[in-house]
This record gives sequence, structure tokens and C-alpha cells, in this order.
Amino acid sequence: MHDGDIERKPPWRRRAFPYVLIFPGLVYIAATTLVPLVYSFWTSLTFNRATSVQAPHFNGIQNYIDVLSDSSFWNALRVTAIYTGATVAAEMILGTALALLVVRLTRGRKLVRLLLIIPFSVPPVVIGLMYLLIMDRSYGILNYLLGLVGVSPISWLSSPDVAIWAIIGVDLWQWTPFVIISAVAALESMPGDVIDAASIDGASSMQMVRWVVLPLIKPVLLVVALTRALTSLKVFDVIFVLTNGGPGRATETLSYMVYVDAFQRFDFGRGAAVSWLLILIAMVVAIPMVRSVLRSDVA
Amino acid sequence: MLSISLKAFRRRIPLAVICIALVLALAPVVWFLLTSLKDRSETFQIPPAWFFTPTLDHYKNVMGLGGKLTSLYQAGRIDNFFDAGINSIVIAVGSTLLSTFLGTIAAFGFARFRIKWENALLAAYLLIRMVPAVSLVLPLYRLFGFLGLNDTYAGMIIAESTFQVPFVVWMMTGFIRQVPASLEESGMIDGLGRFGAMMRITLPLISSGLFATVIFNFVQAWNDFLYPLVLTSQRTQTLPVTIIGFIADGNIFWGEMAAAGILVVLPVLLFSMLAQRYVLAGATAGAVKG
Repeated sequence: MHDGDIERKPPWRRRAFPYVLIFPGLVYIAATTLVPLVYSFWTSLTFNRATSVQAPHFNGIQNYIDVLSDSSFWNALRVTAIYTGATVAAEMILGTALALLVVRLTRGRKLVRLLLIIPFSVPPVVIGLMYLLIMDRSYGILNYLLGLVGVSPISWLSSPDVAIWAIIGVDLWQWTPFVIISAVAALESMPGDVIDAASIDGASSMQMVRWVVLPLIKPVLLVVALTRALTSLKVFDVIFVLTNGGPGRATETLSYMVYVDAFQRFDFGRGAAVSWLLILIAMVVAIPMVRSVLRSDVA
Repeated sequence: MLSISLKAFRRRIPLAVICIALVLALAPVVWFLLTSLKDRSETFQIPPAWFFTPTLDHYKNVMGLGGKLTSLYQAGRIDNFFDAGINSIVIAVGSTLLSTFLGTIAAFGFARFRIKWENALLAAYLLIRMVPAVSLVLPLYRLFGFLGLNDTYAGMIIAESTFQVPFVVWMMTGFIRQVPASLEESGMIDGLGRFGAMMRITLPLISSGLFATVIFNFVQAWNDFLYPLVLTSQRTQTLPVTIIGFIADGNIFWGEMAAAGILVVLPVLLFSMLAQRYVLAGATAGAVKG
């Protein structure tokens, strides 16, 4: 029952065909991703400072030692941890709660979804510019509105204590809609019979949510949370526009620190070292996510 | 009596909360739009001027059609908006085409055949996409320097496509798997080659998925900021980097900045709305089903 023309081709050609298909993509990715990463790792093991008279030379793990014993690294780690932790937690809770409300809508769900796309579709640079305007201490509309209810003007972006919460707030604005949409999709694809069975057994709304609904959508929520965590680690554009990592280093995340080291101080060796530490941290988050995704695909 | 009105009130709460959320989601963008239309003197009026005569001056200035900013353009402080727009288009279209081509044929390979180490490869593709962009831009910058690819279209297209190819593979593999292979096999019985069957039969069937993938890649390349910031200079600078230029020397041209921002945002919003059915899958790297 096999096609005549395939039988006529030599067997090795038939077997090689799928590999011919994936080969270009594979080679391309290897060349444009693996090669630079290996090169970056090598750079992290060298002394390489464009501003120094010394020529680049191998110095083993000295860069890593320098970085890990520098308080600015631990500050950046702290900022990153606070940023990622706060944004993911707040967005997951807020997003899921709002999603539970949205699914109750009988009409207009599509419109809601359409409008909620906007915050995370706007280029992050433009988001930064938008909030630069809104959060201006003297002229921004945020302080104006707060003034209407009696709050005195806050230096959102130039106060070391407030700045990090300001950019966390921006992130919340940008990504909570994404969590809402994801959770709504998960809720919409829940099997209806479980819900019916629970309500026949007399479960109240709150109980149903806690013991039936949430466990059912947990896998999807987990993937969403991990995705958010990974994206959080990479945040750059908004910080660049709003605070430049400041005031001082109050909003300098690890990502931003790599940029500063490599492209403002031109210390490529050190920048590469920090960037590899960042990759390690990202992999800690990424690997469980990839595994859970593959498992759900196979199942 | 009391219980009835309480019930009615409680039923309305979800709707009210949702409305508040929607207003919060849209308000900053709307405010930005208003700012782009306000005369310079009205931008910072306290209390804010809610009603005003809109002016298109800022848009004209941004596009180099008006007087005020032309001197800044000529002084080379702000790069030409049109040029930047063309650069953005070339780079976004170029990288999208390249990555869609490479990724789609690879996806056919993964979806239709048993390939050794298939899961490992797919996992690797996903992992690569999760490498922080900063970590990749550093070596790219140095390597491009050696190869003379800095500030070139070719260089930027390659750079943007590094994240796009794995994404295309993941998305398209999922879509292709949804089409039964038997359709291709019937096509082959009718005389099409394997490759022809894939292109002529399966590909048209997943055209909406392909369309969404293309849109996502385009938007991602269009919005990108870090890569153009580092890897481009005068010749190939893209829009997101150019609009930063309106924050020049501590004197911010708010109206122009808002106008430029709106102009950059419009194509993206349009495209995102077109592909909104697939927004979820796209934003989670094709990982979430349904």
C-alpha cells in the first residue's frame, strides 16, 4: 500500500530527507546562538577591558571572583529578586482573581480580551516613555490624581526607596492582562462535568474555586508563572528609559548590570561573567518549565 | 427588600471591577495619545487640560515636515524618523521571512518524521529562547565587530532571527501536527513529491497559524530595543532607539515624544489585534495549549 514513487528512491535518500529539513535551522541556530555563547564564556575567563592599557589575556575565574565579591553584584541580585518575586506573585494573584470574574461574563469576553492585549503589545520603550510622563514628580498626572485625595507629591523615579516599586508597578500594568487572558483560557477549557459534580454535592462558590477550579488550572498557571519569571529576569527597556538603573543602583537589575559593565564601562570580561551568572539563574527557572511543557505535550 | 438590593449590588460587582481594570489598562495609552495632540503650553497644565484644541504639530515635527525640530534633525541629534522607520521595516520583515522559512521547514521535519533526539532538540530550542537577551548581545556585538556586521541590515536581521527561529519551530510543529499526515499521503499517491505534498496540501491548511507566527515575529522584531541599541549606529538605527532621542539634554520634547511613540505603537496594536486568537500561544513561546 505504499506510494510507487517513494519506493523508487534509494533508501538512504528517503531516510535523510527529514534531516535535510531540520539541518538548515539547526546549523543556523548553532551558529548564531551557541557560537556566541561559547565565545562569551571564553570572554568571561579573560581580562578584557577596553579602557585599560593591558591587552586582553586569560585570567581564569578571576572575573567571577571579582564579581561575586563585589557588593554591587549582590545589590543587583537583590533588586532582581525583589523585582521578579513581587511582579510574578502580584500578577499571578491579581490576574487569576480577575480572570475568575471575567469568566462570569456572559457577553463581551472577546472585547475584554481584545482590550487587554494592549498593555503587553505596546513596545516596552514606549511604555517607559508613557510612564516617564505619568510619573513625573511635578507635572505627571499620577501625582495630580493622588493630590486630589490629599496625598502629597511622590518622587516616583528619583527616590531610592520608591523607584523600585514604581517600576514594579509599571510591570504590573504591562503583564497582569497577560495573566488574566491566560487564566481565562485555562478556565474556559475546564471540563464541565467536574464542576457539575461538585455543585451537585453542594459545594459553595468559594469552596468550588478553592478545591476544584484552582487545582484544575494549576498546570497552566505554573507555566504562566514560570514564563513571567523568565521574562522578568530579562527586563531592560523600561528600566533604561525610566531610571537608568538609578537612583544610584536602586533599580539596577542583573540584566541592566550586564549592559552597564559591557557597554558603558566597556569591561567585557566582567560583563561576560555577570551575563553567564544571569544565564545560570535563568536556567534554574527555565529547566523545570521546559520539563513540564514537554510532559504535557507528550501526555 | 434589603436582601433584594444587596443581591443586585453583588451581581454588579464583577462587572464593575472588570470595567475599572479595563480603564486602568487603557488610561495610560489614552493619556499618551492626548499628550501628543496637546499644544506644548498645555502639556503640563495643572490641573490637566481635559478639553483642548488638538494639534497635529507634534506629528509633523516628528516626521520632519515642520519647522521646530528640523534644526535638531540637521544637527544630527535626532535621527530621521522616516529613515528609522524604513530600517525598522527592513529588519523586521527580513528577519521574519528568514526565520519563518528556516523554522517552518524544520517544523515539517519534526512533525512528520521520527527524528533521533527529537525531544532533546525541541527542548534545546525552547531553552535557547530563554537565554537572557543581554547575555547574547554581548558576544554578538564583539563577533559582529570582527566580522564587520555592526550597523548593517544583514547583521541586525541575523540578530533578530536568533530568537525567532526556535519560536517558529515550536509554533509550527504544533500546528502541523494538528493536520493528519494521511492528507499528505493521499497527495503523494496522486503524484506529488513529499515536499510538494507538504507545501501544497498541509501548509494552506495551517495558514492562519502561519499568519499568527509571522505577526508575532514581526512585532517582536519591531519592538526590540536592546539589540538595535547595541548593534546599530547611524545607518540602521530603528524606531524604538530613535524615539529615545527626544529626551535630549534634559529638555524633553514631550509632545513630539508622545507623537513618535504613538506612531511606533500603531502598527503593533493593529497586528496584535489581527493575531489576537493566538496571543496566548505566542507569548508563552508556543508552550501553552488551547
